[in-house]
Amino acid sequence: MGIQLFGIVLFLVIVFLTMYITYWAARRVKGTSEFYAAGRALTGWQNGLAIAGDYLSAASFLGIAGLVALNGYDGFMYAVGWLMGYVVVLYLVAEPFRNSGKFTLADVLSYRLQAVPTRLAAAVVTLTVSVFYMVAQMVGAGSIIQLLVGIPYEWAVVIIGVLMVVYVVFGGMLATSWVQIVKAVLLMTGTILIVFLVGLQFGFNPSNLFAAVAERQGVEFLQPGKLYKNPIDLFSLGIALILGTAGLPHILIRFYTVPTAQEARKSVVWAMALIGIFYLLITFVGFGAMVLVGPEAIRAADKGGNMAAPLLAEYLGGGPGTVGGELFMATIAAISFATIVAVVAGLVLAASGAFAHDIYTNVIKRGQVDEKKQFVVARYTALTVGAVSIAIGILAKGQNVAYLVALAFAVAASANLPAILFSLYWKRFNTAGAVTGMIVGAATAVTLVMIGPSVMGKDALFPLANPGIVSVPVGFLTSFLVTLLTPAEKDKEAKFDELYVRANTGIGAEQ
Amino acid sequence: MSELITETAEGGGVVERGSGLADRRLAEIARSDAFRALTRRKMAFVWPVTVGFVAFYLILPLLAGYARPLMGTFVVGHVTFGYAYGLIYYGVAWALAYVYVRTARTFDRRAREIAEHSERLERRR
Repeated sequence: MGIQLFGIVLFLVIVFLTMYITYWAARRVKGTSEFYAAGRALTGWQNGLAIAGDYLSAASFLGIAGLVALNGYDGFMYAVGWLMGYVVVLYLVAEPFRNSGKFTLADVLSYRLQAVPTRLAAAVVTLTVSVFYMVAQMVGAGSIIQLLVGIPYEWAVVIIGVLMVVYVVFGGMLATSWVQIVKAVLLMTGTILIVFLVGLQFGFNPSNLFAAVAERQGVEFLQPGKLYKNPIDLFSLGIALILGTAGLPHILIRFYTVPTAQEARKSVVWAMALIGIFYLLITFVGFGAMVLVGPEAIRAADKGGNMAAPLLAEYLGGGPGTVGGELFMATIAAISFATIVAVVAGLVLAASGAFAHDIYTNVIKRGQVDEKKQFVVARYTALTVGAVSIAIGILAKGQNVAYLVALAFAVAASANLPAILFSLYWKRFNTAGAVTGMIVGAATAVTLVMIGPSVMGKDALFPLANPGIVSVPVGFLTSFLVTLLTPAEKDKEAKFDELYVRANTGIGAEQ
Repeated sequence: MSELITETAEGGGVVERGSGLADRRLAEIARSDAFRALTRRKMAFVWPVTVGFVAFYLILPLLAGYARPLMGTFVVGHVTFGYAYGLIYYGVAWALAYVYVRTARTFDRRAREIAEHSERLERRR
């Protein structure tokens, strides 16, 4: 009983800490600039931590640890892909993005293309990506919290939903950023602690750990092929992961929170260091759980393997029933909870920006809204987005939605990335190309998943679970060919020149 | 209607209204040799590295799919080739981040010179 109490106390500590951050931020959030972009006042390392906090979801922490624990090498290979996309972000997107936009992804595109159609298309794709991601997080969160603390699924979704709405509505990007920073620190600390304790058992030598894997579970767990039977599917997932990161709206808007392109650069480097270390370590958490807890016990707790990390913590703390074991497990559960709320808050902000800033302010009202009204609408939108997410989260109970994260990456890579890259780097690019490319890229990715094995099971019309290998080339080619087949926008070429100067020098960028 | 849309395109975007002066300066910089030299050098660096890296990354799933015996070979102790090879990716990604930061500093210097030059021209007007 005392142990359950300890778990509840830890949850309350996290809730109070994040509420204090929100209270602190709420007094500083006076307008849209603070609400969407934290006043552009974060430093590089702060934003780097926040990016890591935004990106490392419960799917990464609990999900990948479970994948490795149950499947071995294939889980490790899956983990590798999640860092690699940041090379694309660093080299091609982060700095020009910081210099070109204001609050949303659509800002960058509409700078040099016709504003209304581009904003509409970009906003719709942003909403699509964010909602897919959000549903995956909410459903995952509901079942994970249910498993970890024993509260009913619906209540878990409501608690997480209400918290994220409070952070965003009152504290905007400022509160969200600091919640993400706190979460990143907690998550890294928890992961390092687990890996340190696993290391103690194996003399800090990975080879000893692998030897134990081979001896107890079989050498095939050190080789590819346990999880992914179809190499093309794996290749397809790889394409979505490496190209999708640079098209995820909730990650991209983080670059507006720093004052200069140089700080944006630093923040990617910090994020790459943290995210890389995390994914390197999480595979040891997985292999450690496989050896010390065993796949049978992990499967018995949760078929998907989500309980691998908490069960490993329980073992390392002294085993089931011991005070140390229960305490360590409760700590990991509390960290998972912080992880989930930080990610969903970032998604609510991205979705709110797409609706309030793009559709309401710039399409419906054509930019003719005063700052005060924009700020009010932004907060009401966040409230609505949060309420809708809670509703979808509850309705989707019991659904297998793990594929939605991969789908979000595929849509980001197929629809957003072509539009972003061509807008920033290709003078001849035009509105028709951008809009059709975004719509066709997104529709292809979504349709292929709907007729693929994730949704249709064995009767799938499309053989691959991951649509990237088809939808990414389709998105890029549609943007490219439609542009060439439609007239150049002569009046917009001067805007491209301006954008190109801004993007590459920072002259005239938002302060 | 079309007039309205054009106006939104200008005003609803990121350039504040009445920034005609800034627009002229940006257009001037876009035409300058210094800026063209900067972007040419930058593009010749960022694009080949990114495209090369994406291609390099995609070798991993291909090897995992089609070279399973190789990936399962032990190289040191119980460390398989597949694991060691996977680790290389972390090293390469971090190395590329370092290379980028080093190289971007020279681009920053050029960009600052271009901005300062443009400001001097502006003051003389």
